[in-house]
Amino acid sequence: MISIEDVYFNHLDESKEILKGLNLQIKSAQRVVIIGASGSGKTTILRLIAGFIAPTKGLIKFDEVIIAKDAKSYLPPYKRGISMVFQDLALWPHMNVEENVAFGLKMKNIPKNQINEDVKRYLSMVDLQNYNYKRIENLSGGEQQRVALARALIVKPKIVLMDEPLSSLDEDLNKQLRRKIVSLQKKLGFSLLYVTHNKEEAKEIGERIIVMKDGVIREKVENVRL
Amino acid sequence: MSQKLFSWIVFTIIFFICVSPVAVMVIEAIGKEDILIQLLHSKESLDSFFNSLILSVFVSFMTTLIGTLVGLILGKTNISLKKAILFLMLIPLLLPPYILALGWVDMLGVVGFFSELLFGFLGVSLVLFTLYLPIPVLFVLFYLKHINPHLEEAAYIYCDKKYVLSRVTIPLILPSIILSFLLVFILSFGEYSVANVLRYSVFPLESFVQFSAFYNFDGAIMMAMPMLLIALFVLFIEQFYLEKRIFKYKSFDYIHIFKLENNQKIYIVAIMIFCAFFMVVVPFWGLFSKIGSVDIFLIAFVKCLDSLLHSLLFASVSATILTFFAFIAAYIVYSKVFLVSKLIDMSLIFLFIVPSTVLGIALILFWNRPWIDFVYTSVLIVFFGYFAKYLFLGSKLIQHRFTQMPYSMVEAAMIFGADWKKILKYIFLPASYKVLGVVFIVFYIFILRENTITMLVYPPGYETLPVYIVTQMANGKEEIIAALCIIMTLSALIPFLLAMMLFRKKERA
Ligand SMILES: Nc1ncnc2c1ncn2[C@@H]1O[C@H](COP(=O)(O)OP(=O)(O)O)[C@@H](O)[C@H]1O
Ligand SMILES: [Mg+2]
Repeated sequence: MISIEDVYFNHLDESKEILKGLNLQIKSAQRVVIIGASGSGKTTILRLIAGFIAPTKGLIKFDEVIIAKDAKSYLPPYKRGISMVFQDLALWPHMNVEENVAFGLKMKNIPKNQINEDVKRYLSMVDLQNYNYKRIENLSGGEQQRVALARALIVKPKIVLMDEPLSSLDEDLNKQLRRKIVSLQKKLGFSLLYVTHNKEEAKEIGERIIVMKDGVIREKVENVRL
Repeated sequence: MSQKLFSWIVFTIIFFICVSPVAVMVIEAIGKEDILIQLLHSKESLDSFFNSLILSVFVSFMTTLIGTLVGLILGKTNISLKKAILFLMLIPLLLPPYILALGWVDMLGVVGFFSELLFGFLGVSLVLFTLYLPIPVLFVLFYLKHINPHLEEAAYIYCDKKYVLSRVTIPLILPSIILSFLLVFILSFGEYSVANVLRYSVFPLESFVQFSAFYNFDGAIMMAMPMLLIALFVLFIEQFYLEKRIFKYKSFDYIHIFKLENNQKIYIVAIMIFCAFFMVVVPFWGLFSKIGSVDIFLIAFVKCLDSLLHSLLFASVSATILTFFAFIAAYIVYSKVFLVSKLIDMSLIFLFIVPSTVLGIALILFWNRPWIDFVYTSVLIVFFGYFAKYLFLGSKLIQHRFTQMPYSMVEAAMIFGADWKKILKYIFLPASYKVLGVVFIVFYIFILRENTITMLVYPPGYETLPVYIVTQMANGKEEIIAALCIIMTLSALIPFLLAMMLFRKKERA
């Protein structure tokens, strides 16, 4: 479980407070969606949990262990058991599909044959069999999206952070991939923190929906449809 | 006039003035291979060729290695004094290369253990290393600015910073590292003024001597051929390998910074400042200690006044005209007019990487003939030399500015019926004022420091300050020469500093 307690954040040499006393709990294997206007601080929450930035004040706990408190981060991103899908996907252009997906496992010194097996399994999970040696720039938007998913999930993270991952796709593809994400989450059982500004997307993905405005949570909605 | 016709006219001008002299030189060389073979049979020429080869491989390897490291430290960490360190390192590149060499000679003297090291491979390497170190540093800094920080953060999720650096950051800037290696290689292969001061035999010096001391034109032409081949080889790699691998530059809100511990920061800054001091400040210390008194400085100033005025005049007039041409050339290359854009781009790169001795000799051979020898006998030939050598630099800088403008700006103007001339005037020109200022300064400084082409082609009575200093080296007094070097340094640094202050103010406004 992640808990964010009374977190404030502002960027260095900027007086504007982006988060103002945020409180948020995410249970394990739960899907939480954050929705809010652009600039309301959604990405900032994900970057705090990932560990790219530390809260100016307040604390973040993973399973009751404090990992960041009052401008100090006690755990770098690669030790937090998280994964992230970036808004611009951030696939590495100098690596092919397989190298992108395998990166996380390679960094954990997993044996080569195990890596190959996993890459194959996760690529087929996102319907990209035989895409191993394709270059990123030759893939369509939807295909790149799925490579990013496979890259994030292959390391079996406890928590997956997704920052408007489908915002650049057309509506059909968007719907198709939403379902894919939900089914993968149910199958693999990670906690999902999903940021979007699309209400429909939020309703379909979230078990809980959190509405952000100006650095604070406006409302929390238990999604009754599920 | 259509843009196509205009582009072809511009290309014709560039081709006629600068490229055809090199082409004519190659044609003249055909059938005279025996002269080259003869020359290479002489031990001096062969030795000098291998000296040059080993020297430039060594220098380009070392500068690229250390320069990449320095670039990563300056661009990617949170150390302090970054700007000061960069500025200190940049100074040598703004000056005629031999100044540093003279400074070291004044520092270490002409006898003794260290002096023996200085006069030879190590001394020349040290000076060329100091001179060209800023090239990989600037390349790396530039490319680092255009890496998407998310690419590094995405890796930071899986591994520590060492691996982020080695698996993502460095591979992403690799093309720039290779490019700076090639550039330093070609520059150090063509540079002879440092070797001249430190009495080390290098190939371009041999060809220069053939030309200016023995009046052996055929010999000089033939010795230009290997250098030309190397330049063509570099051009080939640039065009067919690197061009495609350089990812499109885009700017991002922030740069991913690798935070260092405080004590690490102090060590790194201390080491870098110490090295920069050793490499840059010590030779100037040598020059100053040689001068001794203000009187000598004044005597030197009076002596060099003519040449100083020539230098300032040439540099400012040429830089103005070149800035104009660079803007035009950049626009044509940017517009991708069929074939001609590519031709202009390749011509400019080629002229930039052809060693200056080769270019100078080619210009003389070409323009020193009936009907057109008014060029050879006037300062026009000096200008043509600068035009050929440096147009590329300015054109590339301006092109970079163009690529950062959203293309929709152009399309929006087209909807209202603006033709290419109006688009150039009302869209590209106003958007480029700042970069044009930068380009002017770059031209000004590089022309001011130029001594190789100028030395070869200047008509009697029009010597520039760098050339005057070289002529003084033969028989002038050491302290006067040292004072001349300081005057030269000031005349390059003062406009540079003024420009930096000016641009900084504008940025704040
Ligand atoms: N590096 C930065 N420096 C200063 N301000 C920033 C930086 N990054 C984001 N901001 C500001 O922080 C606010 C919240 O940003 P963000 O969390 O990205 O919002 P969202 O993802 O909801 O659109 C915005 O007003 C943005 O301008
Ligand atoms: Mg965002």
